[in-house]
Amino acid sequence: MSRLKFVLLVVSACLLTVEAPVLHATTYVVGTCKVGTQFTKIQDALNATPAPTIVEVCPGKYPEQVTITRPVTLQGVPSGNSSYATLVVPSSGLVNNATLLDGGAAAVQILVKNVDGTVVLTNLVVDATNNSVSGAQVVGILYMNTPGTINHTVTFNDENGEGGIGMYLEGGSANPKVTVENSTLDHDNVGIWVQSSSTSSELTATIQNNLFNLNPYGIQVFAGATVTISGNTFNNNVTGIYLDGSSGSAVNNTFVYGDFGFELKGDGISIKSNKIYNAAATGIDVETNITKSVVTGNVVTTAPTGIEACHTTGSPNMVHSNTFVDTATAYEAESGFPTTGSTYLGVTTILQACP
Amino acid sequence: MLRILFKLMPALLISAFVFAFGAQELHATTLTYIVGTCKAGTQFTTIQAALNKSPSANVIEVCPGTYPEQLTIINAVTLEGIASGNSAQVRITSPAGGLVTNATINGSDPAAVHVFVKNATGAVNLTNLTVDSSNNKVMSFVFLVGVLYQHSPGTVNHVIAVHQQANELGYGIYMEGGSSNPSVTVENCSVHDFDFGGIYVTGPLGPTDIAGSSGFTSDIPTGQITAKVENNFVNSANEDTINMLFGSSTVDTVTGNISLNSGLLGTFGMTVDANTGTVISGNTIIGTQTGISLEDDGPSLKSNKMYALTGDGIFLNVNLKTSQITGNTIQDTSFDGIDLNCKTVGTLVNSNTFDYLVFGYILAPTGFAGSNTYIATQIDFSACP
Repeated sequence: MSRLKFVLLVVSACLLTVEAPVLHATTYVVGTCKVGTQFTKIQDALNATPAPTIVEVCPGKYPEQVTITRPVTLQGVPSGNSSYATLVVPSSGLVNNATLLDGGAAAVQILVKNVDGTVVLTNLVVDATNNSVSGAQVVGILYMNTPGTINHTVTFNDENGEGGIGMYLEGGSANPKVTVENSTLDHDNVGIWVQSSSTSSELTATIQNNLFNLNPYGIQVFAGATVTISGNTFNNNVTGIYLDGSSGSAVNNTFVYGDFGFELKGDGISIKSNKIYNAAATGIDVETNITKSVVTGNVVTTAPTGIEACHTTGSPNMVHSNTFVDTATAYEAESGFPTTGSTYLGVTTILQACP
Repeated sequence: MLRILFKLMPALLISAFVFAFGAQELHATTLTYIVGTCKAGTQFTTIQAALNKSPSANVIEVCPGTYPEQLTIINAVTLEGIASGNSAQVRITSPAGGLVTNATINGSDPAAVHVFVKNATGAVNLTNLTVDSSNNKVMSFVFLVGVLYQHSPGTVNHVIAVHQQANELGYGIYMEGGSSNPSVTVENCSVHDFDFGGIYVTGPLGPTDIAGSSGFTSDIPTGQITAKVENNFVNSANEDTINMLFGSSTVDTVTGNISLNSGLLGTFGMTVDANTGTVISGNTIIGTQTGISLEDDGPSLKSNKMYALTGDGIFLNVNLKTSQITGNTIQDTSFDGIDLNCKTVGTLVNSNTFDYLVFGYILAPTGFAGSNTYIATQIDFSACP
């Protein structure tokens, strides 16, 4: 064998090895819209052997509660004149199948549980209408200590007497990275909940370019995560983003209607370059003393109060260089709060003393 | 000596010219009047008195406060609110007796205009003002307008127009063209709590097609208006309102605006009847019944985002030969994305994204095709019957 032939053989073998995982991807189909190994239920496809790499779900309604324990891409696919693959509540309602960090029970529609590998959900609608859940939280999607991405997915009507959460991102010892993007959170009690059981970060969450519509809370972040929240639109959420711990930033989000754009309950996450329109109460409510969070570059348009900062005695330059348009009060803060550097347009009172 | 002077003459002439020219520029930029007492200078107690003063000011700075006035501006001027002390609000309110009828708009409609910029030949710039038309006492069948530019060029920047409510005939900001084809800009404004229209840009006879023109060629107005409408916030609190309208005989660049409603019936994010060359792009419309209604061929609708609407994202009321409808995203709308209304569209409608809707396209003409993105859409498109 010549040296050249030997080299070519080695290169070919390498290429074959690189391509092999793609060639060996196992794809299952739920429904009959595509040829392949077909299933009638999503859970059956997920449980099949060998384990699927991809599960493609045809348009239709699937009355199931699904548990995912292996890496997989679960995606709705268009067919004919529809692209609507929907998990709906079984006729008997949802049953409790998880315990949340607060110890409370939850009935979860898609439970992603301690998966040692990436789970991707895309092009799905998760509809909790008629969930019949009592004494537990209803949750659309729960990522429990699992990395992955939720893209172009809808959660709807996750609410009951106990609350309700569209997407719950829970950290853990695996320090997972989870991204939620291009999705719709509609009529959930809380759109997205982020939390770990540790006070140090056990989760990296990226939440970007989503629409939050008519949720009492758009996003709630508690301790134990590093978050980046950007490019989201919030329509008529009572509170757009509620932050009580963790670190990271919320930047370039847009809020319309609702009472508050932000409620900052815990120090750590910075609030930068957001636009808040027509808040019924306060654009940004800083309800704690901050020494890490920076509130800057935000624009609050048309609100009774732009930024309330009565609870912070921390370095005043943590809140600076914001713009206020058509607000009765720009800053509500203690006397001496530095107001220079911000921009005021149509503002009746630039600095209002705290009550 | 004469030789030296002769050599220096060109330099002396240039210096003299520069001095004279510079002095004129200096004079032009320093003729400033003050309304209120927050700043030193020639002071007035009312804005109209400063506007009427001879010689005319180039700049009128208005101190924070409330000014119960109905203003008419006929000369080029920059009228700007300034911050002082703990306030940055210059609030122009209705006089105690209310606003009187002082204009005709749409060719023949009587109107009570709060701030009336009338046939100014030079630019009139308004900035940092709040025009609050509460307690206007406008009579029935009379239109109310917060700010009217009639046949006048200029810029409206950071102006807040509120409470233009009068028998469902109230407009926030209205820019009406004329034979001199004025150019206007409306930017960074906040317009809300009106009961008919938010920001209107029209030809000399108003939004003729939409207002029900007879269709005769004699109705076609002469003159037009060129408008940039950018980065405004418009929010209607009433049913049957149009947040933004771009009428016939206008050429408009409309971008970066937020047009908002809380889901009330008969509300439009934008109604577009403008001329070719108009581009509506990069706007966000939330919660209206209809996002954008396209009434005439010519304008293009590109890369707009529409969320949580209760009716059509885009409604098409004309056959297309020129207009392009591309790159728009319609998300979480309770009915359809784009109503093609059985109109002829060729290949001009494509590359739009439909996300979480009942229908993507409805009433699509025979043979309609295009590369679009459908996400969580129950029915991608329905054909014209």
